[in-house]
Amino acid sequence: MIIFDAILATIGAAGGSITGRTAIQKLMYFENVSKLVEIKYRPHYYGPYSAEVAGAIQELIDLDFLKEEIETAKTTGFPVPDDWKRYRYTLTSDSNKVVEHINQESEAEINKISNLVRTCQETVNLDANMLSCAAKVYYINSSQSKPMTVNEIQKTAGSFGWNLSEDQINGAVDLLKQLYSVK
Amino acid sequence: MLKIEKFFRDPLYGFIGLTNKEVELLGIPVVQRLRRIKQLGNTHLVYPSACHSRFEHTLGVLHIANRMAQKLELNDDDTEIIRYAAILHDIGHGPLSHNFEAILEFVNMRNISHEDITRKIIETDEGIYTVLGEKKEEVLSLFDGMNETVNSEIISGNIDADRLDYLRRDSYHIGVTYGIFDLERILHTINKKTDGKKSYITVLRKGMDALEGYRLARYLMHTQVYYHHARAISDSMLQRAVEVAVRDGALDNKMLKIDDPDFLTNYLSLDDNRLFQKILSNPESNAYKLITDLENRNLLKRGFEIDLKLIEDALKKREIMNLQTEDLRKLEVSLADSCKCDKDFIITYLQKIENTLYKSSYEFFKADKTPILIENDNGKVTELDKESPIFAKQEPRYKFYIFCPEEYKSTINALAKDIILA
Repeated sequence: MIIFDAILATIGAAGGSITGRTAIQKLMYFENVSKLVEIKYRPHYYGPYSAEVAGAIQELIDLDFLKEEIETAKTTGFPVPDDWKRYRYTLTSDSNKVVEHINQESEAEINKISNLVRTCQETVNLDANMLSCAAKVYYINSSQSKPMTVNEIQKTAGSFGWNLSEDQINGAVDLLKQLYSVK
Repeated sequence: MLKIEKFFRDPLYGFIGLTNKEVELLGIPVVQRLRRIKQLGNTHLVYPSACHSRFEHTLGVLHIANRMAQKLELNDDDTEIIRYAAILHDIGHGPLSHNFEAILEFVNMRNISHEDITRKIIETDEGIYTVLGEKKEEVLSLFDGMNETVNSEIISGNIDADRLDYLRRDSYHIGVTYGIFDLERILHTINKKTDGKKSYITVLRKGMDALEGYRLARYLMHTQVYYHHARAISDSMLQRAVEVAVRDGALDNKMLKIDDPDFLTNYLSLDDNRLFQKILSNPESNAYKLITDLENRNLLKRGFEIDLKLIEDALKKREIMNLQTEDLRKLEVSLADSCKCDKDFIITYLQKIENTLYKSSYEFFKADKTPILIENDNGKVTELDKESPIFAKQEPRYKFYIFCPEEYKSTINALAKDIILA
């Protein structure tokens, strides 16, 4: 599926909006693993990251298919650092029409995207940190031919500058088990 | 201390000094080839004096990279490697510079940048190895996207020697003032911040206004020069000429396949002139006409153009945005059939004019690069966008064009409205 359509379909499947750039990045990563899209990912601080996805989100905003709202330290009610920011992406009336159209045009793929998003909603409530941990664990594990121990995962994670606790790894594996059969 | 032995005249900097080793490096064929590649491709068809080459820009980058290294107080060993990297940074460019990247993408069906080819050349070229020996590995490390040091940022970053040179150099040669900014102030206010093994370039707060000038210069050069519609047309004509030449056998497809063992030999045998000569070797091909028309500045015209933002129908807008190469080709054939024009002369083109550097976070996400960083008097580092008093509308412009011969303009316009907007 074309990346623009996949992003809109993903947000549509999440109920019309998603909070956090990282959450969208990781959902798209899982879709990439499922071969629903074909995107290049590379390791970044928050886990596997695609400049292509970031660029596509920006283009969708520019062309009025997505509305971007930024929550800052001043607007949130929570105690957060001064430079804290959170992005929320919502479908517009234009993209609602497009999503409706894609649903009819690519029913099978849309069902797979919907299942994937629903699993992430039900398991981790689309929490960006949990999605990020799961993506990191999958990224590390996918480069190995045999199952890895928690220690091995932590060691490899360290080489990417990622810190993963045992609890985080276990939580990630739970989610991945729901999404795919993990080695 | 590097021993400067030779000096080259330069219209921007007066004299540029080189060590003997650098003169040797400059003399190898892969670097000399840059003399035969125009810095701005077809831009001379819009601005007649835009005929400067990648070679003189290379010398300029060497000069600026050295000044940045001095200001950041890098040691001689690091400076030496940075200077070599500056000399080699553009050797991967194909004929007519960035134009050829689109051609390689067409032939290889994947995105191939000139940086990819630069790395490939440095890895394999015997001449480079003869001059640099094992130091070539250190040079290569500066072209690694994962190298998060100021040394690498000097070669490729948001405030790198490349941009600091080309904006002013292009302006100088073209005869415009859009790309002029206060270079000295920027060089005077750059600083190095270290974070463990990583380091990055910041600009002291007092240099912020010079930075504003720099990014405004970059924006204006994009809108006025790099994305000029006549340049877009001539670039499209060149790319189409190569496609047609490959199809008609004037150019061997194999020689442009990056995985072919002879790719680099073939690629490096091409420069602006030689590419044209190869295409002109088959007068029966439409490629011959396209190149002859380019040479005589007989350019195709804009038969149809539309700003994507102005399309009200969401599904139409999405359809155009999602157009892939094969869809565009089908559209061209359909238009050509309807107006009885040869399909080789109908060219569709989706252009995005990015407001680069005015949205450093966008640039950051899109290109995996660090935003421009300002260092405040208390040492705290923030993004320029957060500090800047200048507000810019941050939306890129998206335009969809159909180019065609003059005589088909009105027909194409009517047909395009029917097919695309109906």
